[in-house]
Amino acid sequence: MSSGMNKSDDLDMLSASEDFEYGWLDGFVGLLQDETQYVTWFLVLFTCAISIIIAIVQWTKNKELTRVASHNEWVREFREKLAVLEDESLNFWMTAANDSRDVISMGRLTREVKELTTIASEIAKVGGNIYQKELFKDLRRAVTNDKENDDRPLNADHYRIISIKTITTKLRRQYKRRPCK
Amino acid sequence: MKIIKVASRYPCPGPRYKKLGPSSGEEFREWLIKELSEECDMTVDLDDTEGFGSSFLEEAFGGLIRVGIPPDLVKSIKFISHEEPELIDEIQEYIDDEIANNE
Repeated sequence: MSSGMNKSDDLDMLSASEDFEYGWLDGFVGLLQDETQYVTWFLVLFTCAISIIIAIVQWTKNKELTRVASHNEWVREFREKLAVLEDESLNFWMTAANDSRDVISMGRLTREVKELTTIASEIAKVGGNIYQKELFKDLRRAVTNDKENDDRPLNADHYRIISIKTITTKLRRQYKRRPCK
Repeated sequence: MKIIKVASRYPCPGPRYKKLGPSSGEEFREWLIKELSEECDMTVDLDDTEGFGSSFLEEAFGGLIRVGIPPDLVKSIKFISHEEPELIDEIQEYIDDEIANNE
């Protein structure tokens, strides 16, 4: 007896559940077919579309801003290190040779060139200027080749001094900050 | 093929000559010659160092020609340089310059 009642209850519940589902669906389809609700549906869909478009635009803008900020930070560091390298290399080549200090100075200049090339690679990775192979080759050669070491101090019009100035200027022109739009 | 990673032995490449300090181009060249005598097919990996000075590169690779290593053998050395790709061109120029000087 009790199991029969349970079965009957289950059937009732199933029927009620189906009624609810079909009722909800019927109501929804009914709303769609109701000509008086077209304006409401249009407004709902239009609002959804606008929200999605705004979200995409904001996301894209933030992504670009982050990229530009990252680029500008690398460029700032690059230009600072380039200025230091220019000063130190000119100072090295325009002063008399000093064997005890020169090896240390040359080692520092060599590391500074490598730091610049590493930053230049990072700038390229964040969508900045492409890696300037030729300029970095010329820079390394102008700063760290000891060919004229015995001729130090070099005059201001010596080709190596002019090369260092020219190459660093060219690099500064290549690596510039981007405006944040 | 033998791959020589410069950074494994010379993480901070130094000056041109041994008399000027440790990890010199001259010292590296002697290691290269020793390795070349054992295996002709060689690749030199230039990445992961603190940076190369042009004097080091010139003495190491241009110097191979000066000490009498056959130009064909020197030209057959391959290079890996992902960090500073211009190093490969610079080394090739030192080798070519030295070959031209010897002619």
